[in-house]
Amino acid sequence: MKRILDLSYRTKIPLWGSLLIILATLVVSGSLMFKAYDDMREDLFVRSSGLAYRLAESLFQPLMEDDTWQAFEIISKALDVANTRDILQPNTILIIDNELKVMIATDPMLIPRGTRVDQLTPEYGVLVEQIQKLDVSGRTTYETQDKKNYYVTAPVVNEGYRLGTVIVVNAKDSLWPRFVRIASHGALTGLLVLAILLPANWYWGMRLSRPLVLITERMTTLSSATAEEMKNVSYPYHDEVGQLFEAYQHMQIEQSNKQALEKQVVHSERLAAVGHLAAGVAHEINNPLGGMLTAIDTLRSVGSKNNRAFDSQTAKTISLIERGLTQIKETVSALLVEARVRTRDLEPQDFEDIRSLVVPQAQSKQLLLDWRSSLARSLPLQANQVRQILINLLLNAIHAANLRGTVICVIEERNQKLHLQVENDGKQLSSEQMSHLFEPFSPLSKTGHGLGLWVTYQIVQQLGGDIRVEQHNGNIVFSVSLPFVENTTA
Amino acid sequence: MGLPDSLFNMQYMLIGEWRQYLSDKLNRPVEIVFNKRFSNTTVQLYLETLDFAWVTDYPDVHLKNEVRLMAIPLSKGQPYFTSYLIVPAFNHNTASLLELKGALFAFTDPSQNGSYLDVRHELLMAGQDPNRFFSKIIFTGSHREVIKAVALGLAHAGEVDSNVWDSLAKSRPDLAARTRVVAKSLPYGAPPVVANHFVSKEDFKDMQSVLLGMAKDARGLELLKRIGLDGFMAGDEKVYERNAKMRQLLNE
Repeated sequence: MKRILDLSYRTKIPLWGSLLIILATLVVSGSLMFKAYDDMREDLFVRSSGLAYRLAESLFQPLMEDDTWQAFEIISKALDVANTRDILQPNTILIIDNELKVMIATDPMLIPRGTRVDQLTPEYGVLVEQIQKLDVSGRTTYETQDKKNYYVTAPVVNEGYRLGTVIVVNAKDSLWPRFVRIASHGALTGLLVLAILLPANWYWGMRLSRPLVLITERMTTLSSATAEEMKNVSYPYHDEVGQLFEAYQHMQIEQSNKQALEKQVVHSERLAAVGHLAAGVAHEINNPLGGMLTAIDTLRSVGSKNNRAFDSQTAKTISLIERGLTQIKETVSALLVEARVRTRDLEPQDFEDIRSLVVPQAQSKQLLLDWRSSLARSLPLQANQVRQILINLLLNAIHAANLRGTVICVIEERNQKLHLQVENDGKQLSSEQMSHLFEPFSPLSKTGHGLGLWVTYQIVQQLGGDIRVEQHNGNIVFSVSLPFVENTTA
Repeated sequence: MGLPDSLFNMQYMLIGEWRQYLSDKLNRPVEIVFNKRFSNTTVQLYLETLDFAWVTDYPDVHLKNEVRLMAIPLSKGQPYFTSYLIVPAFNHNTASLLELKGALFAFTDPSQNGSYLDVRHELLMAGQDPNRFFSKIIFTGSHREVIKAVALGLAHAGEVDSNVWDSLAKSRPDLAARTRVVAKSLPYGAPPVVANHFVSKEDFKDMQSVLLGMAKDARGLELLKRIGLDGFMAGDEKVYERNAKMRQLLNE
C-alpha cells in the first residue's frame, strides 16, 4: 500500500480517478442489472398470475363438464402461445383437483394423472398448504420459488364453487437468456463509457499533476536552479498552482538575493580582516623601516662629512641595504592606504587628465577607448583618491583587454553619488577568481605585486563607497559608487 | 347438410371445395353445417333444420326412424371402416385391449358408430363391464386428436380410425411415430349420409346420384382422394347389421 501511495502524482491522480470511474461504473451497472433481473422476475410473476387467472377462468367450464381433452388443449395452448411470442414461457402447467391430485398436466408423461401434488417435489408441498388457504371467492394467487422454478397458483372457481387449482410453473432458467442479453448490453455500454472516460481521466490527471511535478522537480534542485531558470517554467494561469509558482519564484529570488548578500558580507568581512592585518603589519614594519632608512642616510652623511669615504665593499653593501629597504617601504606604503587629508573637490578636468594619461597605454594595444563622461560640475569628493581609483581601474582594464579590444568608461552623477563604470572585453574569470579579486597579492597580476585592486578596494571602502565586479555580456565590468561627502572643510 | 368434424379432420378448405362441388352439381346453393360435437348434427336432424347429414351414429334406434339411408362411403372398395387400438410408442408391452384395464382411454366421440361401439362390444364379449373397465375415458372430438392425446401421453391408449392414422402417418410421420398400433378392429359399417324424412324423393335422388357420381368425374375423384375415400355406394341396411347387433348387445 505504501508503495502505491509513494507513487508520483503523475500516476496517482489518474490511477485514483480510474479506480473511481471503474468502481462507479461497476456499481451503477451492477445495480441496474440487479434491478433488471428483479424487474424481469416481477414481470414473470405478473404474467404468470395473469396467465393463471385466464386459464382458471377458461378451465372452469371444461372441468365442470369433465372434458379432459378440452382442458388439456387449453393449458397446452397457453404454452404454445407463450412460445410463439417469445415472452417468458412457462415450463409446466398443472391442474389439480380439490384432493390435490393432478388432473391434467401439460407434460402428462412426467406428471401422470392422479399423482398427489405434494409427492412431486418438496416445494409443491409448501405450495399445497398455501393452495388450501387460498380464498375461494377472492382472486388471490400464491407465488413461491425454489432453486429451479417459480410457482404461481390460481383457483379454478366460479361463484365460490371450486373445482381445483391451476399451477403455472416457470423455470428460473427461462429468465437467464433475457438477463444475459440485458447484462451483455449493460456490460457493453459500461465498457464504452470506460473507453471514453478512462483516457479522458488519464489526460486530465496528467494535466492536473504536471505543474505539481514541475514544482517538485524545481524544489529538489533548489540549490542549483536560479530565479532566471524558474522564470522559464511557464505556467500561464493564475490559479492556485500559478500562485504557488509565483510564491515559489519570489521565495527563490529572495533566497538567492540573501545568499548573494551573505556571500558579499563574508567577502567584505574577509577583505576588511585582511586589510586590518595588512595595515597592522605595515605599520609595525613602517616605523623601524623609517628608522633604518634614516640611519643609513645618517651613516652616509656622516661619512661624507668626515670625508671618509667608505671602502667600496661597504659602500656597495650600504647601497644594497638601502635599495632593499626602499623596496620594502614601497610595498608597505602601498599596503598603507590612508584617507589623506582632503585636498580639493573633484573637477571634470580631473577626468580629462586621467583620459590623457591612459590614452597612450590604450593606443599601444590598439584599443577602442569608449569614454562616456556626463559630468559638468565639480563634485564634493576627494580628487586625488577618485583619480587613483579610476586610474587603477582603467590601467587594469587596458591590461586585461584583448588586443584591438574595447574598454568602456562611464562616469555619471546620480542620487548624490558618483558612479564609475569600467568595462573591458578581456578573458572571462571563474567565480573562484572573481571572489578573490580584491585580495592583496592577486595571482592574476603578472607584472605588478598584485595590490592594485586591493588598494582600490581599500580606498573605496575608506570613502564609504561600494565597488563590485560582474561579468556581463562577455565583458568584465567594475562598478564603483561613491557618496558625496559633506563639505566640512569649506 | 350436416357434417361430422371427425371425418374431415377440420380441413375446412376441403369442406369448402366439396360444398362448391355439390352446389355446382345440384345447381342450387348447399349449406354445410358442421359441429365438433357430433351429436348436435343428430339433434339438428331431429329439429328438421337439416335436409341431409353425414352421421357417425347410424343405425341409432331413434335416428333410424327419422331418416332414410342414402349413401355409404367406400374405403378400399368396401363400405366398412376399421379402427386401430393405439398406445404411446414408449409402451412396448401392451399386446391387446384386455391388458388395458384401469387405463385412461381416449375416444373420438361417445356417439361414434365405429370405434367406441366396437371397443365396448369387444370388452363385453370378453366378459368385462365396458362402463367400468377403463379408469377414465376422454373424448377428444376428432380422430387426429386421439392420436395426439396418446402421443403426448395424456391417454394411456386410444381407438382411432385406421384411415385417419394411415393418412397421418404420411402427412405427420413425427406425430404418428409417437404411437404404436396394437390391434386392428373388425370392420364395421362406415358412417353413412342420410336424408331427413321430409326430403322429397326428387331431392333424395339428385343428391344420391351426385354422391355416387363423384368417383366418375375427375374433380369428384380428386376430392374423394383428399377425404380418403374411394367413392360412395347406395345405402344398404345390410352393411350395418353388425353395428346394430353390437348396439343391441350393449343395450343401446
